[in-house]
Order: sequence, then structure tokens, then C-alpha cells
Amino acid sequence: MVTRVSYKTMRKLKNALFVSVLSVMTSLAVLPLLSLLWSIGFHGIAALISLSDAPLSRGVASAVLVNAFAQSLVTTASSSAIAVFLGVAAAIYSSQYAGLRVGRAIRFTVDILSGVPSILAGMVLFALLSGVSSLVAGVLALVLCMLPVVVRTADQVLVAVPVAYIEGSLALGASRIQTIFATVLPIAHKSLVTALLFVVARMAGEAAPLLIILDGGTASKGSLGFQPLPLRLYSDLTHGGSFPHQIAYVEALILLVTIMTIYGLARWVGRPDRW
Amino acid sequence: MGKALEARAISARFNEQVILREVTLHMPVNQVTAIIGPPGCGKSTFIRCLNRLHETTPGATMSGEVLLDGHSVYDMDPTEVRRSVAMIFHRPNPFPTMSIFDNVAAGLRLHGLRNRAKLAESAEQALRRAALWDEVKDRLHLYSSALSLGQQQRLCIARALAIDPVAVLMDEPASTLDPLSTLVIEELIEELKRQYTIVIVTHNLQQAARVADKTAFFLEGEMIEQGTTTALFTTPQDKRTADYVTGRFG
Amino acid sequence: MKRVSAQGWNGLFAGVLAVCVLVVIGTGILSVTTLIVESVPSIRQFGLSFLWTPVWDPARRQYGALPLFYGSFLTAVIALLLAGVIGVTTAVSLTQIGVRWLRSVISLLLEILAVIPSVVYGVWALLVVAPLFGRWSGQAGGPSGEFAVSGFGVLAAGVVLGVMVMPTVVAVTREAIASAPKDIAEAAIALGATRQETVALAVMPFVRKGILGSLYLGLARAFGEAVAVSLVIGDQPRIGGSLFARADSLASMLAHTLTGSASPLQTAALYEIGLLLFLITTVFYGLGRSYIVREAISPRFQPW
Ligand SMILES: Nc1ncnc2c1ncn2[C@@H]1O[C@H](COP(=O)(O)OP(=O)(O)OP(=O)(O)O)[C@@H](O)[C@H]1O
Ligand SMILES: [Mg+2]
Repeated sequence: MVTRVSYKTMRKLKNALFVSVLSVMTSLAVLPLLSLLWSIGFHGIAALISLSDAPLSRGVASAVLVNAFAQSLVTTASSSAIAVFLGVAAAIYSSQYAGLRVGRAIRFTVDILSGVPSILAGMVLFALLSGVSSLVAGVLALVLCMLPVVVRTADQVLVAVPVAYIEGSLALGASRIQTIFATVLPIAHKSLVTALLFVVARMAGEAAPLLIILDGGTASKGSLGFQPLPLRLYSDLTHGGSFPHQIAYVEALILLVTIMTIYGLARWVGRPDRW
Repeated sequence: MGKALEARAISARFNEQVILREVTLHMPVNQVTAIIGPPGCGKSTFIRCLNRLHETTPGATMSGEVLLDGHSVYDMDPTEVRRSVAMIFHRPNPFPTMSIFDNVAAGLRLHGLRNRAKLAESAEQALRRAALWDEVKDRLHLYSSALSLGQQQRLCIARALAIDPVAVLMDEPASTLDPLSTLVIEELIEELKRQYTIVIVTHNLQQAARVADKTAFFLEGEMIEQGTTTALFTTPQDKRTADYVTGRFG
Repeated sequence: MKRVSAQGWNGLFAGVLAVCVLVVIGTGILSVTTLIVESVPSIRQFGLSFLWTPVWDPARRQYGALPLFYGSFLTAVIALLLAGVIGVTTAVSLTQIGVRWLRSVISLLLEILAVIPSVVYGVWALLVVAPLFGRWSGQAGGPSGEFAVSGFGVLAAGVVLGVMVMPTVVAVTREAIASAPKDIAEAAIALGATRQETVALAVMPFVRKGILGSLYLGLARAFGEAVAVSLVIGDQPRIGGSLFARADSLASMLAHTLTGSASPLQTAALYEIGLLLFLITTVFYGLGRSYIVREAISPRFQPW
């Protein structure tokens, strides 16, 4: 009897230990994020204030920031447009037209490609287009990174459309094209937009593929070379100094806020329906 | 020896949705109580309240009292409640990663029995009580998936009986089984009620009529009528019960 | 007549889509080919010994991948230890304990962690992580609010990578736990098992593959991460020393030297590093995916 009671207590203790270890580990998991948000938020805002206090640095800083942000916008938008167009088309093929085997082959290839480190895309474009304008090369590098991810996610979303709807539409005499545009895409459009926004959110902050093409080193402090925000930030971090160091905080903050906005938008579009 | 179960004004919810409304039911010792009713009326939810399994589902809450031999199970340690009030599920769920023997021994080991000889003895006894011993005694170390579905269900019964419960809850224990296996399970229930209080949920009215001493009819989360099985089936007091037991329901 | 033309349109449409598929696959083939072609001079020069030459020294025109393997491997191991232990336990917490609103808040935070760009992680690494290790290793930390001047090295890079990889481990493991059979877990609970016993007895046996898969995916990501690592690893392709010693990794080397490459041979050597990186990450990524059952998931956020 005594042993049984103590065994029961031991089990309970073990379970309590289990729960507390899990809680501690979970706190450890979110700790870095809080630290990151805090440090970047704090220093970013502090730097923003100190930069705007000095009229001279304010002018330069805002020129740099506006330039970097605008260029980010252009590169992200154009690369996303290309990648989404091509990628969704490919995903429509793999999910609606391809047979079982071809579909599987496409999925396999795309899966593998989507795991390739983004810096390699930059290297490839660097080798292929070293003479061409860095804007074109940069955009294409981003496209190279995004494309497999777009195909993979879009395919997952489109495959999830219940076959019954597709068959129903075909049975009514609709053609394949009509079925895709009148049935499949309308059913999937919300999920599709959400998934694609997630991909864009990830790509908008990518510095690695750009970094080799749009050489971070050539545009030195304060100059307005072609440098989208992530890249500008990277070069400010690697070519330290006191002015870029202030501006780097602001850039990090802007980048973080931008990415979170896209992410939030994705969550908002993909919010569960209420009724 | 079994112990009586008594539900007093049990209400259960999933999130905002009320599943059970104030169900009160006495489940006497060494009798089989059957719960019948159309799909989705809350039968499973009801018996899952009895061994405090309901509260482990996300979003699930309940109120009311369940008494085991006069003591409220909601004042007891939930693991002890579940140890005393065993449950058999509608789909056989032996641990697929364990051998037949380890399945039966699993509960015993959980509750602290380590002695191999004693484990073997208790496991054999449980398998005998579940009428499975003769079929598996030569292959105790095979994976449980080597057994037929009916045998797997009896393995689950053996696993539940091994830890000496006082009551056994069965949620449509034969619904996925073939007629022959169903018959074996029903005979087993007949046998088991000598030692345990048994509550069985069933869709099968004939089955309720065959095995149950007492029957309760549930509809849309409410207990409409209860009584001896004979009375409920032959002279139902409520029109809805009458409709259901005569198959005129809906 | 009308029928035929409708079919014609369908065929054309399918054809255009198929071309898009070919373009996508073509980009992959083109990438690999480019990496191979560009690394030919280096392969010719060094042959297989490139893999185990322990020196990377542009001044002496000596290029060997071993120091970079060392840096990549060590940082990835540190990252996976961290992300594995914390990530798996977090995934268990998120499915097994705690109140629901807290779980969803934590899941949201971890998703945000996955979406933060690596260059922003770099800022954090310079601002928080490296100074921390600088202090630990007894070096001067630099004034607060400014970037680290010390603390660079394998450990700092590994920790930052660990944080970056963790969301992947959590997401994959949690998915695996969620798809573990519920009725088996209930069988354990109904036998009177505690939470901990239920997890050990009836959940974990079904999750092992998922965890393994998540670790491989994490490994692929850790090897492939260039930007954040290059900011704190110290940029010195050396083997040995303590965990606080500076080193360099495959991807980080690419990030900070390719554009400043002094000679065609160095460029080729760097492309060979890129090729190796491609092979390694592809193997790990492929292994990881092979353990994870692909389901038609609604547009859940996938951090891998
Ligand atoms: N986990 C859950 N979350 C939300 N609602 C649930 C959950 N489980 C069951 N329900 C709902 O509770 C109601 C009662 O379910 P319950 O399983 O108790 O019915 P039942 O009488 O056992 O039905 P059946 O005969 O089909 O087994 C159903 O409407 C069901 O949709
Ligand atoms: Mg049920």
C-alpha cells in the first residue's frame, strides 16, 4: 500500500515535471522573438528620433530610405508578378491537367527546387547576366527563388479543391477552361491569395539572392545606388560606421514592419469565415 | 465486484454548443445499462463524461455530478477515475506499436506493476476474462495488428479489464465487427456483468434488447425515458421513445 | 464547327500551361548547369581533394572546402540541438498542454518568427546575440546600442541559426502530432495514463518520422542560410579552436566574397562551393520531405 501511494505520487510529480519543462521550453521558444522585436523596435525608434533631430542627417537618411524602399517595392512587385503568373499557370497544369505520374514528377521537382538556398539563385544570375542591368538580374534572381515555392503552394491549394465540384462542372458540359475559371479558381481564390501573400512576405525581405548581383560593396555610405531595402540593410551592417549604424536600425524596423504588414494581410485574407 | 454509477444533471458542451442537457441516470451494479438514440444525440458524450474523458477534448466542458459508489468522480484524481471506470471504444484501438502481451500489460505497467511473473499472470487472467486467451496464448509477442478486428476488440477489453476496473463503459463496441464477432462480444458482456457495472451505447436495438437489463433513450441531448429494457421496448411511456423503438422515427 | 474550336482553345490553353511548367523545371536545370559549368576550372585544378583540403587562402591561391564544411556543420549541429530540443518540446506543448488562446498566441508568434527576413535576424544577432557571447567569452562587448565588436564565432552563428530553424521544427512536428491517431491516445488516457504517459506511450511513437523529417529540413535551411550567418560567424575560414572561435560556412563564404573575388580561379572555387551547397541542401531537404507525408493542406503557412 505504501509503495502504491508513493508510486502514484511519483507519477504525478513526473507529470508535473513534464508540464513545467514543456512550459519552460515554450517560453524559451518565444523569447528570441520578443527579444528581437524589442531590440529592433527600441533601437529603430530611438534612431528614428535622433535622425530626425538633426536636419542634415534627416535629409540624407530620408533620401536613402525612400530610395531603398521604392526600389524594394519595384523589385518585389515585378518579381512577384512574374513568378505568380508563371507559377500559378504551372500549378494549374500540375493540378488540373497532368496525370498522376506527370503530376507527381512535377511536384517532386518543384519540391526539391523550393529547398534550394536562395543565395544560389543570385550566383546563377551573376554568372549568366553579369553584364546586364542589375535591376533585371536582381528581379530574375528573385523570380528564380520564388518560382518553385509559388508552384508548390499554388498546387497544394488547387489540388485541395474537391474533385466533386470539378466533375460537377464538367458534367454540366463546361469545358476544361470554363471549369478552371468558373469553378476551380473561384473556389480556391481566397486560399490562393493567402498562400501567395505568405510567399511574397518571405521574398520581400530576401537579401541573399540580390547580394551577389547588386554588389553590396559598391554603393557606399549614403550613396543612392541600386539597393533594395534588405540589401541596403545588409551593406550598412557589413560596412559599419556610425551613420549607417543609426540608419540600419531604421531600415530594420521598416523592413520588419513591412513584412509583418504583408504577413498580416495574408492572415486577414485567409481568415476563417464567420457565419 | 462492481460499483454503481450515477449521473446527476449532467450537461455537456463543446465550445458554445450544448450537447447534453441535465441528464440524470442511475446505472446499477452488475447490470447492463444500454443507451440508445439516433446518431449525434450525445450518447458518446454522455459516457465520456462518466470517466472524465470528455474534458480531455479541446473545447469540451461539463457540469453536473457523476457518482461512483456514492463518491463524486469530479472530486477524484482523473487518472484514478479512468482506472476504475474502463472504456471500450467503437473502433478497436489497441496500441499498434506494441505486442499483444504489452497491450494487456500496458495499464498494469502504468499503475506501477513491474514484476514479470505477476504481469504475466494478470495478463493471462485478463485475456481469459475477455475470452481471448485460447486464441492468442501462442502468439503473445506478435503485434496487435496481427489479430482480426473482433479479436482486437477483445484485446482492448482485456487491456481494460487487466487493471481491475469496477465499471466498464462500451461505446458501440460491436459496431465495426462482423455478426459472429458481435455475438462473441455480446456473450462476453453477459459474462462480465457478474463482476462489473456495464454501460453500453448501441445503435442496434436488438442488441440492447438482448444484452441490457436497463435501457435509456436519448434524443437531442436529453434523456427522454429510462426503465427496464422490457418495459422500454414493450410499453414506452413517451411517444418519441415509442416511435424510435418501433423504427418509425423521423 | 463550334465544338472543334472549343477543343482547340482547350488544347492551346493546356499547351501554354505546359510551357510554364517547362519554364519552371527549366530554371532548375539551368541553375544546376550554371553552377557546374562555372565551377569547372576549380574542379580541374583541385579535383576531389577540394573536398578535404583544410586551407582556404586566396593569397596563396589555395582553395579547399574543409574549413567551410567545418563551419557549416558545426553551426548547423548547434542550431539543430537548440531547435530540436526546444522546437519538439514546444510542439508537444502546443498540442498537449495549456489553454487554447495561449496556444494560438504562441503559434502566431512562431509563425512570425518564420517570416522575419534573415537580414533582420542579422541585426538582432549583431545587437543582442554577439554582444552576449562577447561578454561570456571575456572579450570587450562594445557600447550598448551599437553593433557588436566581439562575440563573433561558431556559437553565435549556431544560436542565431537555431532560432531561425525552430519554427520549421515546431510546425512540422506539430503537424505530425496532430495527425497521430486520436483514438490511440484516448486508449491511453482511458487506461488512466497521465498527460506525460499518454505522450510517451501513444503519441511519440507516431511522431518520430515527422521529427526526423523536421530536423532534416532544418539542417537544409541551416546549411543554406547565408546572410545572418555571415554577419556573426566571423568570416574566417579556419578549423578548430573553441566554440567562440571565428570560422566561416559554405553559404556565408559565398555571401561575402563572391563579388570581391580576386581571380577567376577563386570565382570558380566559390561556384564549386555553391554546387556542393546545392547537393548537400538538396539531399537533406529531400530526406526531410520524404519523411513528411504530403497532404493537400489548405493554405497553412509553411516555413520550410
Ligand atoms: N470534438 C467535438 N467537437 C465539437 N463537437 C463535437 C465533438 N464531438 C462530438 N461533437 C458533437 O456533439 C454531438 C453529440 O456527439 P456524440 O458523439 O456524443 O453523439 P452520439 O450520440 O454518440 O452519435 P453517434 O451515434 O453517431 O456515435 C454531435 O452533434 C457532434 O457533432
Ligand atoms: Mg457515438
